[in-house]
Amino acid sequence: MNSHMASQATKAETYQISVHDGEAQFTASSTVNLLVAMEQARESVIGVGCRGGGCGKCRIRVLDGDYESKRMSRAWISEEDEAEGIVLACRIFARSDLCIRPEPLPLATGYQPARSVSLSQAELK
Amino acid sequence: MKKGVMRPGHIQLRVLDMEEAVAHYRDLLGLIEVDRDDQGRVYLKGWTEVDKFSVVLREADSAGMDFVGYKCVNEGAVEQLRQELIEYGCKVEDIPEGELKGCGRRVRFDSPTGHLFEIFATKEQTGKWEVGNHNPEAWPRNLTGMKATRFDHCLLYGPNIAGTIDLFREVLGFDLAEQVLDGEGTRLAGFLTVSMKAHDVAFIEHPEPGKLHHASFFLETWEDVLRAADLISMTDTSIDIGPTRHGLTHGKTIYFFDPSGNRSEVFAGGDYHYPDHEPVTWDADKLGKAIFYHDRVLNERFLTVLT
Repeated sequence: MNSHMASQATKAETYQISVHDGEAQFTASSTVNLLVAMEQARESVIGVGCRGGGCGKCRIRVLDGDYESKRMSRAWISEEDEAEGIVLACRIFARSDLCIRPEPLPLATGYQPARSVSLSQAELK
Repeated sequence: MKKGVMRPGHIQLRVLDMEEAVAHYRDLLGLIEVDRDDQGRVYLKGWTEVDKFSVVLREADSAGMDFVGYKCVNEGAVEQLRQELIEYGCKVEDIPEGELKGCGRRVRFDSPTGHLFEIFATKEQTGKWEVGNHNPEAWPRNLTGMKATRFDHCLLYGPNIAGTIDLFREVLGFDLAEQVLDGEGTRLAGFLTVSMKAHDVAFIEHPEPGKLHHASFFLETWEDVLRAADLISMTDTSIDIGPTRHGLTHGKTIYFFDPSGNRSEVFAGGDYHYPDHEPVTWDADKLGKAIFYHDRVLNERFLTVLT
């Protein structure tokens, strides 16, 4: 995990991204996040939201393959999710061919943002 | 009825990467970075704003809004409203002077939609950036990016907007300027003002509590909105929709996202409101036109992409 890897001058590699049921396949450059790579390929198998790791619309499970990721909102990706390969497509960069499955969540109602000390007393209803 | 609340004073946003966020709010939107604190928070303002700051960025593991604060005419008004908020049933927390650098004591309170709000009266006044208020020139020559002039309002999503709208009208003295009603007369959206602006805050009904739809910044002209669109493309910034016009408030607008997924708006123009104005009403079956006046079709993203 390296939050600044996208800005590093890495040699662009191209990988094949397949959706597990064969619904779609597209190529992704290693320098472009997986969601934008999908948009550039004019595919729509993954939901597109903010493209910044905040809104959760592009939640997917990586079934096979290697990737690097940037920070993703804990409102949508728990530590357990992340360990299982559940990620936001807008925050991962392919490091091999990948097999993925969209895994959107309708709502993230259970999540409470971590607050600084002065915010902790104010419990949300 | 006015209760001593003047205007939106500040919004604290959670961001996933501070360096990227500062590039968005300072270099792209053109806000002025005015301070940082020992928690690592970054303070910014639009160049026309007289108070020291209006936007605070906090790095966190989720995106969204921590709180939005409204400035009152004086400390007496804050104290009076604090009592009324307690009587209304809000959980109230006193935030000491200096917790935000340059800001006096704040009174924070919760709301039915799950958002945290604040009122305060004292903040260091550094004046309009680079021009001041004594023989001021028209504008500073060293602005960057979109040259956003001020933090204008935010649109918040949550459950029970009826409750939060009632709180803002009855306790804080906001007026309902615009609304969206469904066939049964249920209010799906409310745009509230405490000034002559078409909105100082807006709410849309949504099942998840405490959500941010967007933080909005004011530009002077439609040409500025088009130029903002050019800058969004030049910087490969994540676009949402626009440039276009809203039916609600009639502002000319463009929506885009910060690098953590918080939606930003820059807009120009729009309607005005006096306290004797009846609320402007849009029917829910005209929601497409109400939100995007030219397309007349609502995109799914507007209703569901939130932080």
